[in-house]
Amino acid sequence: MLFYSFLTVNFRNTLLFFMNIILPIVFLLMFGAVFGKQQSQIGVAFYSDRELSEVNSNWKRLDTLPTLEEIKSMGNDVVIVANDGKMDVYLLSTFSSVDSEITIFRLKYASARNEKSIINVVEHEIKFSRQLSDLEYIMIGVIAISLLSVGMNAGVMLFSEYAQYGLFKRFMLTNVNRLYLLISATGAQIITGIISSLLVIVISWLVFKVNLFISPQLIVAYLFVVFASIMISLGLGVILSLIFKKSASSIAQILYTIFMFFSGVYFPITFLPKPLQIVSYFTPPRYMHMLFQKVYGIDTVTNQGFWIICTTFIILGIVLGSYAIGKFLKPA
Amino acid sequence: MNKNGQNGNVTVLQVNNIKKYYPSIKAVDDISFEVSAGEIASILGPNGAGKTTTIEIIEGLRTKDDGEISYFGKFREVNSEVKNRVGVCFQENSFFEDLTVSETIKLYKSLYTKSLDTKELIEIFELGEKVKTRIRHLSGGQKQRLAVALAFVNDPDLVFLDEPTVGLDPHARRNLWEIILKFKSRGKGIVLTTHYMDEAQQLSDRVYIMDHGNIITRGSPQELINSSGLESVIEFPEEYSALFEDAIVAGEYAYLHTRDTVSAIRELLKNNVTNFVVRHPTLEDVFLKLTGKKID
Ligand SMILES: Nc1ncnc2c1ncn2[C@@H]1O[C@H](COP(=O)(O)OP(=O)(O)OP(=O)(O)O)[C@@H](O)[C@H]1O
Ligand SMILES: [Mg+2]
Repeated sequence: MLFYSFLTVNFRNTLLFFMNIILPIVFLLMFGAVFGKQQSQIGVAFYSDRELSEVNSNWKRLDTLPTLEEIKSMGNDVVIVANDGKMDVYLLSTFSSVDSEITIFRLKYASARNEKSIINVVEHEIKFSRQLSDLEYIMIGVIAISLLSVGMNAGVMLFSEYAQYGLFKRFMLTNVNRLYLLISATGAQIITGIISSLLVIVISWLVFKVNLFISPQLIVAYLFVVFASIMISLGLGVILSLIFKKSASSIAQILYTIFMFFSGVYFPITFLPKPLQIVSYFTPPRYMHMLFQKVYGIDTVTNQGFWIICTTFIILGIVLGSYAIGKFLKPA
Repeated sequence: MNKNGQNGNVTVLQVNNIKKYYPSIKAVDDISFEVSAGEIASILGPNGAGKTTTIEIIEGLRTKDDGEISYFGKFREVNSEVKNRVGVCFQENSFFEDLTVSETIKLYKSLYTKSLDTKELIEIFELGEKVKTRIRHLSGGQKQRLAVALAFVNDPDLVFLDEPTVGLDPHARRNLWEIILKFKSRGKGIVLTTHYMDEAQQLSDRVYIMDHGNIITRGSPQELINSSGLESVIEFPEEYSALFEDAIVAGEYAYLHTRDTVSAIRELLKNNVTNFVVRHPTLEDVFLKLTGKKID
């Protein structure tokens, strides 16, 4: 019931609903429109030593057999090399696969020589060198920003408004358990964050055909990043509440606006002047954006770095959250 | 095991010599009192007397500097058993503004191991029309009624109501008094703080008059009035206060507490004062006599 209450508040409170759900969508539509209706289908390039007819017209035909280096640097999501009766498929991004089309390609390649024999397909997963399109970059930024908003607003709401105005004091008189309170509060934000980011993904697809869908094997990593992002943002809200007390919510709005510039919503962080780039190292959204890019197959951090940042964020969030709950649930 | 209180019922709360000193003020200075089942005890006092501090110490929301408290016959800290049997309505309450009345009641029910039936609670507090309304859209008085209702949500044996009728219209106040009396008749021990004299007088079995962190007098309303030795009170404009040595000036009026009503009236008439009122003494007069000031 406590969890339900926190979740309900997120969707019924006009301000929270606007900040957490509507605003990210407005940004998405706005930036999407500014950066044009870019075709962002999965980029497939292929080389074939046999003459093939009616290959998907969006696929790029390579005239010479590419080297591995060339494959890595040409910026496609998938490269198919059909040579000498064998087929190599290079998967350069983790975007949803083109399995069925690869199968069709394989059949065409085989039938070009009337071969009955099965063509051997070797899949190579190459995990880097993928470049995000501007739109993809921005959409991922919008996701990061929407999670920042969900987490930070929840932190401020909980520990500035509810705590200072006595709701926690009332809870203290019940038999509510601190851990249960923390889990209910954060759990509701995580669900809200997932819903909000899913909305961004779906609308990106519907309106701009930007494919940010997650392949099944990466869902866990994706959720982990959502969790980490919510926790650090929540922690940030807690800090604001502890420092600024009742004015924390206006400070949060200001901070939110400042942070937007550093999360890649408007432009890549490298576009900023050097001194501001340094500032960006101290803003959580920068890291949230990095983590999401990593999930989408961009090598922003090492695998190890990815787990370290996620875990640090989660621990920070839990520590700050429990500290604040402990503080407000203690006799004065 | 349980000691019996003065009306023969078990003592649900006993407070011995509690103190709370803030750097600038002795908010609570050596207070003792007790409450039995089925009894309404009122703590009556002006703003800043220490009423809220006192009951929040008992509720376990504030630490105390000294003293001990027995809940339901045992000296102990507020533990989960105590919490389960205690109900509270704060002086200022805050809610999840975006939940409805019935969701809020359900939420609070879920935080206790026992509870009163939701329907019954809604019926008693006449919140039926508003069950589907979000708290945000309730009037101040309706919110206040909900806050009091939530104090009873866990079917408590001991209830603290901190100025429960502040902000209610006269009709709603009386209504709430009836509800409080209903719970009293069910055997609940109720501690009420108020700065309304009539409220204390109407509801209480025992009144504790508090000022500057101290209980300055205690007893049933009638006892307090009787023991004050007041027979009648004469109220007249403040500019004539010099006519009597022991008239107390409070605001625009002077108050004379006297046994010899007739000669006092004669004195007033002799000086052409005709706009005076003679009445029975109330708790307010007791307070005025003890402290030399009006309560609000
Ligand atoms: N946390 C605190 N720090 C310092 N002083 C405090 C604190 N809480 C209360 N006080 C002081 O203690 C005194 C008693 O306050 P309390 O709130 O108990 O009064 P009250 O009788 O409930 O008054 P009211 O009728 O206005 O509600 C006041 O002078 C108040 O300023
Ligand atoms: Mg008070």
